[in-house]
Amino acid sequence: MTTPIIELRVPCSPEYVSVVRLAVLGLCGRIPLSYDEVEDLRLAVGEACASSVYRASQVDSNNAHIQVVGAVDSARIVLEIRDDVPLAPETESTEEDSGLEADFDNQQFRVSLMQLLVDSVEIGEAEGGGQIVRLVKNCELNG
Amino acid sequence: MDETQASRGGTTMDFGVSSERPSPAIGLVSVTGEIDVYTSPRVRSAMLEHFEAGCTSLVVDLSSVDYLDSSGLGILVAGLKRARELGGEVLLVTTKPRIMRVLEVTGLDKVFNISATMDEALQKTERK
Repeated sequence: MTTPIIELRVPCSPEYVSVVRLAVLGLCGRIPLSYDEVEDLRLAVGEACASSVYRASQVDSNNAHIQVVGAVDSARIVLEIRDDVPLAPETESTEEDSGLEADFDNQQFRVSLMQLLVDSVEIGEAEGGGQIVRLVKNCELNG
Repeated sequence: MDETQASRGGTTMDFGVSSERPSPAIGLVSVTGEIDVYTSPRVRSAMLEHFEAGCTSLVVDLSSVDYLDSSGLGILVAGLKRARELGGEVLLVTTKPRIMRVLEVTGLDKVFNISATMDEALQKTERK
């Protein structure tokens, strides 16, 4: 990734996911993406953050954070969303007691949705633990 | 309407959920704002209340929803599953291109019965 344009660190909590989406909206203003492309990217970033929030809830990680680094790299926008939530084996959803739970794997659904929305999705283990999601959206820069 | 100004980490966005029961078997859930990992539990609660009150079909009005993520989609799918187990249906109301885009990209536009207006959706439930 080239020099980051934005770096943002927020608590790994549901109420802060919208803050990240808002920041991404600002970054997208610098590049020639269509309205739909910007919204797709915002949704993909939201899904990456939601994945972190879900994992934090699974391990009672109350002090976890999400760090977002964004850069425009020649003809694309690159966003890295990393958390410091310890990686743990997948467990059943904590939403089971709600009486209205989805009958599909929400985490896998999030990954699939991200893959449908952006040009590249890479998910791995962040340095020092946690998860890192790298999203790439190609665009055509004018000058 | 049970509408609140949800303070969301420095930004303030209107989010609201309201419920009505036009008939004993039909629940109506109207949502405004953004449905995401933070707000979706309130949508789930509203839907669940209708099922627990004996409704078999729900109409979920998304015509004032600007953003819908996988958390919201998961709840809608779960609601549809519950409704079908009860012999009913979950109908969505929206014409918003962004919401339609999310439904289309996930293939859920073919799973849900989607109406352009509330009247149209309610007529469909009455015909069932």
